[in-house]
This record gives sequence, C-alpha cells and structure tokens, in this order.
Amino acid sequence: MSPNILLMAHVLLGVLCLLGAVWLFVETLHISDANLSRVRCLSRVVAITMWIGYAVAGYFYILHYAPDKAVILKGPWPFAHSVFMEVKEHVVIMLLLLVTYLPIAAQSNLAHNAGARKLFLTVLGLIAVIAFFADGFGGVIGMGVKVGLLSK
Amino acid sequence: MEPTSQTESTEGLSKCTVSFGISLAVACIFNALLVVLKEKSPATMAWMKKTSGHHWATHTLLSLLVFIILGLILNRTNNGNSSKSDSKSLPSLIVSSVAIGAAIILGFYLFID
Repeated sequence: MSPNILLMAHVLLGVLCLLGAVWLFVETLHISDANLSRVRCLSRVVAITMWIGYAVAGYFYILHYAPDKAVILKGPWPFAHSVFMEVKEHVVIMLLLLVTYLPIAAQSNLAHNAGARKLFLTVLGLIAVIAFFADGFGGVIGMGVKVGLLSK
Repeated sequence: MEPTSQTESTEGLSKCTVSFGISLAVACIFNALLVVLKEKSPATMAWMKKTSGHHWATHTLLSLLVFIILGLILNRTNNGNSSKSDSKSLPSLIVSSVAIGAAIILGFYLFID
C-alpha cells in the first residue's frame, strides 16, 4: 500500500479515536441504564480504532519514515523530529495503554457507581487530550517535512 | 453530572478495574523511564533494536507486557475487595502517572537529549 495512504489513514483513525472519546465522554455524562450497553460497545470501538491506527502508524514509521526524517533533520525545522516526533512516538504508547484500559473500566456499573463513572471520565479525558496533542504534533512534523523540501 | 434514575451505589470498583488501573499507572511511568534508559544506554538501545527489528516496536511491546502481566498478577493477588477509597484515589493515580510520564518524555527531549 502507498505510504501516503498509510499516513492519511493513521491521521483519520487518530481523529476518529479522538471524536469517539469525546462522544463517549458526553454519553457518560448522561449515563443511564438505557445507554450503558452503547457506552460499553463504543469503548471497544474506540479501543479497536486506536489499535488499528497505531498499527498503521507503526508500519509507516518503521518502514517509510526514514526519508522524511532525513529531510526534516537537514531542513530549517530539525526540532520537528528531534522534539515533536520523539515525544509523539513515545507519548502515544500511553494513549495505547489508556484505550486498552477503557473497555475494562467500562465493565463497572457506570450508571449507578459514581466512582466508576469518575474513573471512566478521567480515562476518556486523558485519551482526548493526548489524541489532540498527537494530532497537533503530527501537523508540526508534516510542516517539518514541507519546509525541509521547500528549502532545497 | 446527570443524576441517574436509581440510587447511586456505594460499592467500590471491580477487582479487575483496580488491578489494571494500577498496572496502567505503573506502565506509563515504565514507558517514560524506558525512553531515558534506551536513549542514554547504547547497549539497551542495541538490544531493543535487535529484539524486534526496531527499538520503538520493542518499547511498545515491553510497555504492553508490563501493563498486562502486572494487571494479571494484581488481579490474582487482590482478594476482590476494593474500598470506596480506591474509586477516589485511582483517577488521581492515573492522571498523575500520565502527567509525570509525559513530563519525563517532554523534558528529556527538550532539555537533555
């Protein structure tokens, strides 16, 4: 598959994970017996989406990122790799751990257990914040490649 | 928060939720410390590259293994009782570990590496 398709797919899946987390957050704020099963199902969907996105991103990073890295490091924005990419690639491991934990936290009775609900909302908030920053960091990395190519 | 139709439960969190919540916190700190270790130790970096073909893939695998194995161990050793204090302290523990982990990684690449 084309590296560009992989690159766009990982962004799409990351944004879907972010949107899914925000959707779940709102659903959980209005949780009842009526939407509990939907919340549990959606928590699995968010986890699976992130896992697929992570696998796609990892495949691109390991096999196709080296030329981009060389362009960034020789260009005017070397920090796009040395700070933004390095931080992103390691912080998203925590994102993967959080989404893996999400379906486990969803097994509690969120409709009637305030403590479980608070924990679930906390995990969702962390997922949304990290996914948001990962998306922004990805934008800086993309710009790093662009300014590197334009400066040639 | 929207009130529910029935009375709120006073029970704590499930055994599994607490066990894997603690292992999540530990795995986040482990992940950050592994960044520092592999970047500062050429031998560790070489081993991680050799193990899976790429240091980042090994890094991901090790962090997941810590999360899963520690979660399973805690789940076995925990008797199944969780107190109300667990439901109060676990969110703080997870937020703290994610914040500290992110700060270690960001600080390392900004100021040390």
